[in-house]
Amino acid sequence: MYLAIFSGGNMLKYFMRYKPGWWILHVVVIGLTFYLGHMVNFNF
Amino acid sequence: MKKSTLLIALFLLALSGLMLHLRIHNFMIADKLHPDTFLFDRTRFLATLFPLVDVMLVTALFMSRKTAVYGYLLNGLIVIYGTIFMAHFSISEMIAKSIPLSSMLLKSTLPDIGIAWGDFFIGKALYDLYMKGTS
Repeated sequence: MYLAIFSGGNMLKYFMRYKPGWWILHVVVIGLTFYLGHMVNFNF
Repeated sequence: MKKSTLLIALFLLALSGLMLHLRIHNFMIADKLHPDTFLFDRTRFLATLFPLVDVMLVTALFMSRKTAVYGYLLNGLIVIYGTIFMAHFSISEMIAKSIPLSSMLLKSTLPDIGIAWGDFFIGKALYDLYMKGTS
């Protein structure tokens, strides 16, 4: 299963294991996490 | 257990979280040089925005069986972000104010993180009740 990522022909099969919404959500959330980490500023 | 009971618990926890954030660190802060003027703090606004989404959107999504899954997802997302930001806030405060590490348990936001996870598990119980008929 893990090696499937590295064997070119099976790449699509690996991505299709999850619905597109699953991938979109993860990419958006990871991007948002980086953005929020960049913007937060605590003043004490 | 009735769904409405869990929904009320979820709503009250989210609302209390929002009110606490507004009371403890409001996003409009007085300027140190000009106390009459208020400045907008983006980081503190974030601490108001997430509980606001929790109160409005998550509660609305949990009202129907069809949308409960999205409510569960969003609720989990908000709790994870809350955990990260509250922990970050506490660690920064400990360093800035030189608070000893031994005070970490009670003087940090660890209890607040615990409450946030309580909110998540109420959401989980409600989701399970919608899907499987058990909580």
